[in-house]
Amino acid sequence: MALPSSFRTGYRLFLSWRYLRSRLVNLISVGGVMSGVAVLIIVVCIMDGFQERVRRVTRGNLSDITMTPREDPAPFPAFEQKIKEVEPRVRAVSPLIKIPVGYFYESNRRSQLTGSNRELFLMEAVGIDWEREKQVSDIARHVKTAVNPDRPLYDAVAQEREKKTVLISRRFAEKFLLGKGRGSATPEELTALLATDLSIAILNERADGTYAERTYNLWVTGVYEGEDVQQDINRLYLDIAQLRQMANVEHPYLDVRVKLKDYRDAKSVKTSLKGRFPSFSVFTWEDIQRDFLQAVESEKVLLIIVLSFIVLLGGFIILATLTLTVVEKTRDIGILSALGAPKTGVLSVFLWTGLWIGIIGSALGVGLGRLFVDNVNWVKDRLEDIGLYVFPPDIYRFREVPTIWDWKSVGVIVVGSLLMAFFAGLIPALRAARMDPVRALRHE
Amino acid sequence: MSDVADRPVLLSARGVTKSYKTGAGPLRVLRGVDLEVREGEILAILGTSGCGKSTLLHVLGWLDEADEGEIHFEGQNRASLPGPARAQLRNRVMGFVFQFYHLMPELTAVENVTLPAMIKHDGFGRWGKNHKQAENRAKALLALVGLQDRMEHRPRQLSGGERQRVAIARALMNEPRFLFCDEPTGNLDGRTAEDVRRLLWDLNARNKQTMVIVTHDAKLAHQADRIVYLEEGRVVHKDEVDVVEEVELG
Repeated sequence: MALPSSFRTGYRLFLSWRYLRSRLVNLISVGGVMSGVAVLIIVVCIMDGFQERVRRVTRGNLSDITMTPREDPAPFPAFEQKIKEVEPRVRAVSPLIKIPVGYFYESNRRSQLTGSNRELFLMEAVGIDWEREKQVSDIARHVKTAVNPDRPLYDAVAQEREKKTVLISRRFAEKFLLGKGRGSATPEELTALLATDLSIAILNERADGTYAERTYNLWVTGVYEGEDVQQDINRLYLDIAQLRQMANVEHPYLDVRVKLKDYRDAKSVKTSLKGRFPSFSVFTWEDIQRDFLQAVESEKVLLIIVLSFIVLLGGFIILATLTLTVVEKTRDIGILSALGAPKTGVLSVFLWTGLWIGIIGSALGVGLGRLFVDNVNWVKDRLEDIGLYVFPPDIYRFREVPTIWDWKSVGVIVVGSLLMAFFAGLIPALRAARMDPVRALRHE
Repeated sequence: MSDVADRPVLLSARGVTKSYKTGAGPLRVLRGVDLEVREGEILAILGTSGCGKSTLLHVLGWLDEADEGEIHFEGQNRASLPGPARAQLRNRVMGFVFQFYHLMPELTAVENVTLPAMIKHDGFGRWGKNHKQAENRAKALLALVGLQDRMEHRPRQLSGGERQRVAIARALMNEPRFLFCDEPTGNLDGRTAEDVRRLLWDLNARNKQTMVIVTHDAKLAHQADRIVYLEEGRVVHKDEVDVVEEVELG
């Protein structure tokens, strides 16, 4: 007849394990710790994912560093060469201009702006040098379909017909050209838009507040899909030279986008560039989006602090459970003393009971958290099936709930939970250890 | 039993007093008890309820502390030992049998019996090395007290007599030199009480185990080597077994 393996662990672990198993309230405590740990893990994973995605969306096609000239800048490629010479940590440099443009479309309502049924949709035309731009941003990765995938803003037919080329966003195409909901256009429908005309107007504001428009028929040579659908719908990409010509821009560029060899050097490169090019304002992409990024970080920290109280609640459950256990097991404490267990032995029996609750609760919490995090979008979809929209993409700017499973964060939560179990168990365990054995034996 | 007086004194109490705080002031339970326990004897402490018998047993067994007086075990003063050393000595040298058995309800009979050995061999890896031997001894002790078929039973599945036999087996686990029994038959019917008494006396005859038995059962006390009568916290009569008839039984 073999005794259970736990029998070999010494009386402290053995008795604490038995106490844990024999009382339903202990299992309820395990459930409490499990819930707290799982909720905290789920929130941290979602917030980490959310933060990372927000960073990506916020960054959009911003390069590592943006330099804005305050006076007439030197033209490319001389300027490019100079930057690379003075700052070897720069990998690539690209010029950029941004011009407000309008897209007119037919509406059922009368437009106050145009005085007709033609509604104006204001957009931003971004002029880029494709070969340089693709080295400083993710634009090349975002192109979904193009006449010429290697050089999406170049098309022989357009050149032949002397047409200016444009990259449109998938969201713009869906809303205005296909009349479809977001994400519903098929690749074939998007491809069918290539080599078609798109009319846009470059607007000049008159003294009376109305707009004078100059309309261009652009040749669609590609469709892209960025991280931020709200930004995408308002943005067209054109060749910088063509856009300068269309908008009569004299400056060779309005911004310079800089890609670094290692983004960790951003702060020191920024300082270095500021010193070398005093007529430029220099920003990292995080400087540009600082307020928003800080708001998201603050929200994450606040949420974690608030939800840590759930784990703290688990600690109080352990405290209450073990206090009850010590009262119920008063006679056992007397027996242990009579059998020669030292006070530290009695203490560790109850301390271990609390730790078992913490260990098992945390392990189950990690498992439950992982299960939920892995299936969070399935849960979201099921909730949407019953009309509960917990993650509206119009607000959050992305379709799926983003998550990041970071073992370091999970480890911190588990260690925190175990420490909490330890300290919650310490108070009743000390009480048990200090108990007078004779009184304990006489306890009814 | 005339040779008892010649045996060395193992345990002695000198001027032991003990009182408890109550709402109505201190309650003096022991009022200067002098006592000697000799090796291998069965000493019965006889007295009425509330006379301080159990308190005296607890003080003698180092479970409780006397207010005044000295308790010596083999010449060593209790007061000179720190708490952990006293606990260790209690674990290795003393065994306790209580009126209400005091078994751990979560443990089986064999686990209850093995518990003192688990405490004895506590420490990293020590129990792992000793558990098999202890397990075998626990089973042998349960067989000795006639419970070979009840090893995996929990206390609630055992009768009163069986529980007390498990408690006796547990008290013997670490081969103690002393057995302290607090009303060991007090909660049992006549026949079962006699079985338990016979078991204790057999152990004494076989192992020369020193026993201090607190009881109000005169019949049980009469079979001891020596009886000490306790009244209102004082030893009022102490004698050898051949004058036991002179003891007034309350």
